[in-house]
Amino acid sequence: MPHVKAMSTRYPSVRKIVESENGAIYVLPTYKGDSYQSTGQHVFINKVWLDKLGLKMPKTWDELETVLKAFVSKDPNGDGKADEIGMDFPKLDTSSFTWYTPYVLLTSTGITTTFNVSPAMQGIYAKSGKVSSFLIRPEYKRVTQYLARLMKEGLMPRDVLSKDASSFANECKGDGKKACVGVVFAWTARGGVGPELADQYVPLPPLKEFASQSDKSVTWDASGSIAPVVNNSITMSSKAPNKKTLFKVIDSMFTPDMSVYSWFSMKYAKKIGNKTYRIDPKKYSLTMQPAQLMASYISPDMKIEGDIDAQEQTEADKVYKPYYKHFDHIKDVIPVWTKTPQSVANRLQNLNTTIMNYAMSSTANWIQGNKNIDSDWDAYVAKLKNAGLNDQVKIWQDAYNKWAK
Amino acid sequence: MKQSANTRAKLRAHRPSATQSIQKNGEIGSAYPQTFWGKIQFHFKRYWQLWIMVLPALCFVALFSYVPMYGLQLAFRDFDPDKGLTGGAWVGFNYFNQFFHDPEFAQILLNTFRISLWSLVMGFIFPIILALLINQIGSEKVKRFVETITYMPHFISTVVMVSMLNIFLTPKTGLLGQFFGNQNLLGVAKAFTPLYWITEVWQHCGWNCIIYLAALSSVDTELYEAAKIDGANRLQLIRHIDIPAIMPTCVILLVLNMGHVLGVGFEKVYLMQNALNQPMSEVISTYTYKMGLLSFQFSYSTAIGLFNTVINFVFLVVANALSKKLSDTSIF
Repeated sequence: MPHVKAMSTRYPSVRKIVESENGAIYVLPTYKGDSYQSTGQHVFINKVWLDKLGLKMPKTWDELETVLKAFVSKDPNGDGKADEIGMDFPKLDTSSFTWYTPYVLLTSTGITTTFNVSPAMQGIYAKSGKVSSFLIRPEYKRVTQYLARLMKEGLMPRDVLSKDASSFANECKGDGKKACVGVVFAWTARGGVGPELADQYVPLPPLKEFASQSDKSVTWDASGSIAPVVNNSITMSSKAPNKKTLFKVIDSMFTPDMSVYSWFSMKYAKKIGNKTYRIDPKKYSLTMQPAQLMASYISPDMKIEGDIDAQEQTEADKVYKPYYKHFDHIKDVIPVWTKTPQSVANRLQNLNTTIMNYAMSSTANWIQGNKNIDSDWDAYVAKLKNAGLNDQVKIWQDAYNKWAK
Repeated sequence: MKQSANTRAKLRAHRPSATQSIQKNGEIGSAYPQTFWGKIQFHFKRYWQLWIMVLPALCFVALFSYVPMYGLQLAFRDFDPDKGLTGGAWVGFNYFNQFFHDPEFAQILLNTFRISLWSLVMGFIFPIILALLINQIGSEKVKRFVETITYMPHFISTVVMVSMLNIFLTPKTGLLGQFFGNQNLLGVAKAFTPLYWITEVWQHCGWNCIIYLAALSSVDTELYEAAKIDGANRLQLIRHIDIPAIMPTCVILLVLNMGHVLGVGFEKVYLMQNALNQPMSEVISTYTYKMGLLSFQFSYSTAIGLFNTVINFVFLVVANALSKKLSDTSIF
């Protein structure tokens, strides 16, 4: 299978992702191309509002707070109503950290998150080769305190933690003419506030927690390197007859032509030269975009013009690029191919559910102001440890030791 | 429903005497058959039309209620995707023990009982009250109108219902939210149970009262007239005629509902759940979902589900026995 082989030699980490515990490969992945090499976790700020109020791009948490205060009090969208929302994000889930979580602010404190995937979604991270859970770290407490402060000052919607996903999306997109949100957590500006308002927004570069902090100590979400990989794309039954032919068929799916056509469909993708393709912009106006890949490989020497999703992502990721050099991609990140052994799977799942159930409800109530984090913190840490947080960390440390080499 | 002693006696009388008429038809020999197979033959020859009538229903219940039960053994096995539902290693009551020792077990069980008992009791009382009130309306037109309006919400889907709740409770701008300070009530853990049962009652009250209205409509009007001549007022009419008339219906419905005591609907709780109210809103069904589907622990969640069913079954049997003793109405 020459094309599959080309993919796994070019991207060894892609191979590691599909490898099972014993090193065998039972499924093949998809690689969406280098242009998708950006984390899904971005923050956007309304540049039009900033300019209108004569404010500078915030660089620290305190500056962001000042900017948000101006946003909600000075009527930057000019409709005479105090309908501006300072900062908005989707509600906290009860079982994990989801995409676009405000806890990407942990990167200001030097913790590198990978919120695209587990185990960061359960609070696990690595720093200098040591795995821990940020749920009980003082950094986590500080981010929570900061969010609680913004909530208290009315800089986020009071119901941000309880409203459902559709109201969040509507709040951000508004009527498509008048922007209502100052800062939003999203993938791309278009994804966050819709195509009509996207032009008003620019990515907000990672913030410092304190002004005195060095630039180097601020990191950003490290999910980018694995973002183009879609695991479990194709597999073949061991009982299949005619394996040789089938292997040829599967390999042909990873050829440049097939990869592009199966993704964008022949109707919207045109070949305009050697390994060069053009996508019809009409595809992006479809309500249901048939944009899920089958098994395919977009190699670095292929050129796809008009892939708006990819362009926007690359664009959005630009300001974050320098920050990816502030951490080590093996020592400070749990590589995505790290796998916990099957024998502890049940134990780990139970720990995850128990820990997250308690941690998320406590966190939400702290942010909302129903409970006081300062008085609750010690009991909270004790309870999480009691629920087996250290076991959870140990399982991941062992897996990390085995895989992150 | 259990037949009255009277009708049972009639049926019993049917059998031996039936032989006479059958002899005339010449279908069956001399007398009511004594052997087991003979009895069965006799039964089917005589009642086959009825059997054909219930056949589709029987098939449905067998296929969708009994056949899937073979999957219950998953609760006692380790799930192995290679070997299918029945192939995993036998682990006995392992998963049940795991659930009983789960740190959240007590809280989940408590939440489930609290939410379901509130909605069971309130969902039982309010339709009766509504039916008695509607029954008091004199004008037939107004009566129909009120009935239609009150049962309409029943047809709103749960998802829409919860979205409405969300919109109504939006702080400052919502229809109801503006009266409850600047926090969405859905974010207040203590408010979860009341929100749940109040919306439940609002939505289904009208629909559930239809059956009582039907029972009330069969009350002999002579009874009212006689009572009025004896000088009974409206409340006394309700107390001494209407309520006794619908009592058997009430008891049967209550017993049936007892079978769902732990079966708090999944969708609504899950949709209403958020990180803020989660300590009060985590119930068995949402926990099963999180364990089973989100964490791929199929055996564990089957065990939790089976535990749930067993408890429900016990409740049903106890409630039925009690009602048999106290009011002589029961399902079996």
